[in-house]
Amino acid sequence: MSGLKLSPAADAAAGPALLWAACDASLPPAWDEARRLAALDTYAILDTPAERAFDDVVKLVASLCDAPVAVVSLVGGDRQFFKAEVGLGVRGTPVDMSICAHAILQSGLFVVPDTRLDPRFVNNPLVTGEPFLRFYAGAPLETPDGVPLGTLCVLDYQPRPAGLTPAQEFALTVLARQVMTQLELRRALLQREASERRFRQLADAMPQMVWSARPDGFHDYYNARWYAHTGMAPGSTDGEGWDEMFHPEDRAEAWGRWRHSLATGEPYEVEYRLRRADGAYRWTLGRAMPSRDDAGRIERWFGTCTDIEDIKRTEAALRLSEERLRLALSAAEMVGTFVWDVAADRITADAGYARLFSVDPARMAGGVPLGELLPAIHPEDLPAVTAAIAGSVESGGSYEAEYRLTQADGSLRWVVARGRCEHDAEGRPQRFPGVVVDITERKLAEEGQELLARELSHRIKNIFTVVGGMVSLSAMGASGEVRGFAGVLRKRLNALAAAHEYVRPHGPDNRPAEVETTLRGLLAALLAPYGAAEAGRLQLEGDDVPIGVKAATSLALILHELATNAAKYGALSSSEGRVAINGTRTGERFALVWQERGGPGIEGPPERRGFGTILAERGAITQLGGSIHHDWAPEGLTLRLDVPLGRLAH
Amino acid sequence: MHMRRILIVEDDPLVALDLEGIVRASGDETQVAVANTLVEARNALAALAFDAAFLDIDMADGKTFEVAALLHARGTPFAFVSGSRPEEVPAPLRHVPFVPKPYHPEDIERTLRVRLSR
Repeated sequence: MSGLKLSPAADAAAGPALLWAACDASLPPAWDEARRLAALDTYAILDTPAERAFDDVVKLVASLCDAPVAVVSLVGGDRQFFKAEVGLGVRGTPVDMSICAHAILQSGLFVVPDTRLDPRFVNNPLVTGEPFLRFYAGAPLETPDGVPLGTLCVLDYQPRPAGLTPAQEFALTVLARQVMTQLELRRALLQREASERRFRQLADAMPQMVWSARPDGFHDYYNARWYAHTGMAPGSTDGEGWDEMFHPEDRAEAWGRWRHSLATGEPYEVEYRLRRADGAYRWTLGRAMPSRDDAGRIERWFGTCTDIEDIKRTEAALRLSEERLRLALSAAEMVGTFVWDVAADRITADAGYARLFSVDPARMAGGVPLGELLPAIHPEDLPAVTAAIAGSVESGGSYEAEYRLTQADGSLRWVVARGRCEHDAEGRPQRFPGVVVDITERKLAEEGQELLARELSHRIKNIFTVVGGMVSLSAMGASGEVRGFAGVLRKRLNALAAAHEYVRPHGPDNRPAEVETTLRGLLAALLAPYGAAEAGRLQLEGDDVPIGVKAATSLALILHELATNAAKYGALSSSEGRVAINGTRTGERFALVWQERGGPGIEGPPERRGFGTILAERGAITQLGGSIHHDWAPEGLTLRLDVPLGRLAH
Repeated sequence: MHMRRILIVEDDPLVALDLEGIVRASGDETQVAVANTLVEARNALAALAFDAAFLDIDMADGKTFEVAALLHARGTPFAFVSGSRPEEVPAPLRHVPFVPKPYHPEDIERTLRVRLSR
């Protein structure tokens, strides 16, 4: 007999003894019992109620094999469970009474022509007592990995020395595979439900409204926050039901953009007024991104709605206060003019000046000494003001100072003073005319803007943090490779966040040390985590240029990639290595050269280009309109980035 | 071995979950308590002793400086994990390790291992 595959119709005729000998010679299976039970567990099938699809199969196979009994049996650790059966009337037995437990030890069909002639079953209670089973034929239920979970089997009360007919064997084998397909399908559905459940738990925890839609645009999910905000009944905004939540004037615009995104796959972004539970329409920022399968087809859209009403209001309030400032400046009493006779130390000034310095206008018109006015200036500002006055008196140059004035009621007003000291022919200070303007409103507006910028920065950092968290949580329990990828992705995200923090609008109080946002400043911010600058291993040299938000994003990705690779494989991976970064401005172009030296020797360009490298190069070419050139010299990588100057400022 | 007990004070549930995962993965014998509000944080501190703590600064119900002071007084090592600027931390707490958001899991692990172990 060749191999292990039994073909009972022929072999049974040769006698049972030969049959068992063949079985005993079987090779050890490619699975062990622990792995088999674990596989069975993933199908979550034990003790589930009867299902039509399985019931039909046992009826069919019983009829085809002309057998009184047929069973879909799943063999557990200590018992077998019957997912479907005819002719037995029970849903399982202990495993030591199971014939199927023997059947699954081999691949292919397992046939026992007469149980009383088989030493393994001759004492089986199902053979010696009710229901006196004499014949068994079973086909294994095997997972795609070849792990058997149980059998589809038929049994008879009479022995069948000739076994099954070839047609019956074929039917039994095919239907066993059919049962397995059904089990796979069941498990896939369960897994999809579980992943859907996890997504919903995550989405419900988000501090934002979150929704998803099918590729055709049908909205099939909203998180709890959406229902709480809109006050709608769960499910009532599915499909196109969201349309009536939008302000009638904003619907056409939102639909236009949504249709455009559905047609092109481009991200969706629109501002509209969304009706809240109390009926108020509030400005909302809607965004959505498609999620694609491995082949690049859109599987689903995921979107968010963010209430931006308060931010809009603050913006409107700022515009209003700027308006007020303009009006204020045009009103005479907010501006004071003065002339200081330096030699005689007498300041004469108008009513506006007198009011700001809390002096009687009549006395002011007559003239008062400088010393009488200085106490009105806030003590913290006084040294700078007197220094500016002295400088102008000394040099005859212009004078400018911003300072606070304490008012009669104790409140403070911000003013800016401008003037110029005139000297006579001998260089002696004579006349010092000037103007003082109340800028309190502007200062308050600036503070408001500063507060807004800081709040926005805080929120954006939090969003990056939440996104990073989602990345790691989604990778949890996945393979080491996926978790490693999640770690790399978080580093890229953090590089983007650092670039964003660097170029965002800063108020006067929290602007980074440089006045402008420049390439060198961005480099310093991005490379700070590598700590090599302090050690003198990263040198920034050459020309510096101002950069804008868009360029910063591309540059952040490029530089992050370079630094990561240098730290892993290049100059920063050894203690002697160094990186020199040199900027050169030539006409309307800017070249940035990244040169690594002193690291491990290089044999040539890497064989595989990683995603990060591709991303970085795309950014350089598309976003910056420039080119990247690599030189993989044995002593270290030299990368040259060449971009038009104008694109960097974007 | 002694069971290490770590407190996480963070009002965003997702970020809290992420931090919890990072801290748990850093050692076998680790118990983690998460406080989503200042009230929960104070209750946790009243009920239990901790070996280390991570504090967000801006919580929905206020800032965590009071909790920080409490930990400081007890000699429990802790770090801030925040999107605020480090300058916003009051002077007496400036020496406390500060992990800026967005953080990388390695930042949290390193802080725990190097700065918060006693």
